[in-house]
Amino acid sequence: MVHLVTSDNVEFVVEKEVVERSVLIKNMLEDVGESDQSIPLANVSSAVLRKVIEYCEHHRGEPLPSGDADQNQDETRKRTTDISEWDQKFITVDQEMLFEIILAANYLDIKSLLDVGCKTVANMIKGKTPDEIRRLFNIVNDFTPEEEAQIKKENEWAEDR
Amino acid sequence: MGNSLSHNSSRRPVFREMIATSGTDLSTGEQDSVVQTSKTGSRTVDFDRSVSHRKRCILESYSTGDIHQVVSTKLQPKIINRRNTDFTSPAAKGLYREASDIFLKRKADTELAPFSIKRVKIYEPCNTTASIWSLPAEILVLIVALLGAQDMRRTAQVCSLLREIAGPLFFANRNFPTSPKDLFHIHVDSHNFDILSTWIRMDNFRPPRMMLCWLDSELRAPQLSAFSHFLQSVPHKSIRYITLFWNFDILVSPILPQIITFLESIRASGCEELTCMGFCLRVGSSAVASLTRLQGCAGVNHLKAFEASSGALFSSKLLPFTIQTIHCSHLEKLRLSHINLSSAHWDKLLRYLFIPTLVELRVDADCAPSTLIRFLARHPAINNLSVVPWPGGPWRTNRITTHLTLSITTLDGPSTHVLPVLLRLREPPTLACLTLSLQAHDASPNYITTILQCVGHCASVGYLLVSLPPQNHSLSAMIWTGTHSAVRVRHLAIDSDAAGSSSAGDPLALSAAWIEAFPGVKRISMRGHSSVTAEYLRDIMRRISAADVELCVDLHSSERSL
Repeated sequence: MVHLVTSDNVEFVVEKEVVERSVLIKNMLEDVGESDQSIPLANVSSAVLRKVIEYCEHHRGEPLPSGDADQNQDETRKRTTDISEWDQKFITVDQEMLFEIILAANYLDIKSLLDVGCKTVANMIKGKTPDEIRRLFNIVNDFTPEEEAQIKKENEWAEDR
Repeated sequence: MGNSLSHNSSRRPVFREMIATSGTDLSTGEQDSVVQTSKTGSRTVDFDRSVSHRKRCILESYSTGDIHQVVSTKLQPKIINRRNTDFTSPAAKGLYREASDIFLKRKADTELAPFSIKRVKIYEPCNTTASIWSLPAEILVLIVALLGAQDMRRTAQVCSLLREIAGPLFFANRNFPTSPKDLFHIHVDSHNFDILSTWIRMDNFRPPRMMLCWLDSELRAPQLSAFSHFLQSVPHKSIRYITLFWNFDILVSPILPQIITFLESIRASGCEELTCMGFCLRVGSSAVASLTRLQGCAGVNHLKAFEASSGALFSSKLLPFTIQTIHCSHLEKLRLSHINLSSAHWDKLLRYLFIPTLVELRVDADCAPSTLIRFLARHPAINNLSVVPWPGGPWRTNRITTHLTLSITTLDGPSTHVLPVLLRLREPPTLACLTLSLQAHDASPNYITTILQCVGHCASVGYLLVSLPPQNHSLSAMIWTGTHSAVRVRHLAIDSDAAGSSSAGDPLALSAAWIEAFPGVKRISMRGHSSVTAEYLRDIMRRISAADVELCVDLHSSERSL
């Protein structure tokens, strides 16, 4: 069993097999060896870690993507933004939680979860106009009027407007 | 990148506040410090041991002013310069990552290298704890890379930072080459024409000198107008060479009028060389017969070279364009090949044309030698003539007696056309480079003797390239032993590549006869197939090469000999 302590000082006790889906923790355990000391995760809050563990529990036992497979995965990943049904349900959270999960997955180095998160954000962007995207993510349009005019002009020729 | 750094007024306050904190810290000069700002009590800046001097400098400078200035003075000044910004260069990437970390991260993790600031709490515009800007740039890139071209284009319009991220990915996604090393010439196909106007707005845009464009059969009018617009947007005359290829019948295209406008806009763009090659074997009728008088001139252009290698350009729809282009430019080079004109039409066309500035001409062998000679007589400045041997038929020896006052230095073509020209060259000859494309029907000893005599007249010929015909079943007749030329051909090149390896006669044996005919040769290059064994080859070489001959042999053995 592995003890994890979140940023808000909540301790989680997780099976080794589950927690080792995180490459960060896996490497850490390999380096440090088994110990009862808890691992502090200063960048992850308890709410987020609960979700991440839920994900790892569900996907336990699945082979971890190896370094070699990365290249191929990137290729196939490129076009598909399909997400499996369970993952889809799992990632149906509010925006704030979604970004927190992505950040945690990135920090803990859980590639498949990071993928799911990125695909979800990509799916949110898909088919939206620039204005809709701004509203969706609360982004300020910081183009100057000149830049705005240029962008408008270059898109006159785009066929997929 | 320049965008995100210099224009992000909306995010700058965020950054300033953080700096104000870190600045006080740095002024103490301590190596590792954890500073609790007493003012609010909530902000913690924790500098790790790993904060390098360079990073410290950056942080220090942040407290004093604008990041754009900071980066350009304290870091690598060239990289941040807006005009030179290339997002794909590793240096820029690194810098970008550093900058984006500062802008984007509230929760900088210890793992990521750029700034080891742990848990920096900074000003938040609204009360949400995680927004899209919480994500580091690497992840934003991952996300945008998942989008299709259309969504990428829209994402690029959201704000300047997303534009910096989506822009390069957008080009990569469409296989559009934008990295500077490719920019002397750029290959853009018609489906990418719409990107040109986006590319021109990029910081790393430079007008290419040469453009190669494939027009495919799915060509649409908006693509053509995008290209025309691009040409109007770049500085006049900055694109020197434009080459167009197409492999469909443009004459039946529904957008033929737009194609003509497109060609006209290229002609008017100030480019020097326009090459149009249609790879479409169509049997159409040419409209050359209808040429009666000089057509109106559509204004001066800067074309110096024009290649019209498509029968379509001589059809009734496009002939006005072709003729105007030839007439209204000061052409130095004119290449008309593979245009499927009959000899009568060639005669009509060449009689009609008069281009005083012309120095280089290429025609099909369909053009009768007499027509060609008459044209040459009117254009004494031509010094480079080539005749494309295919598909021209055999021409009988003609009886024209016009004398040419040409100063041709390079002559290339089948003997049917080369001979009459050679016979009429004025003395002293200036010909330096002769290429003979022998045809199967040339296989008469007389021809070779005549050529040798001709070459004999032209003591100036230093380079002779003999290209052997594809079907050499009657080649044995061409071997003419005992003929010696007094010519000082220095470099003899024999190209039997087209002859193939399946023929009965061996081109090498034939070459030997040619080599023997030129005793003064200093350098021999051979290219093609040979069925002889290496040993036999050496024998021949030993026989033909006297003392100091340089041999360049590029022969492929045919499989029979193996």
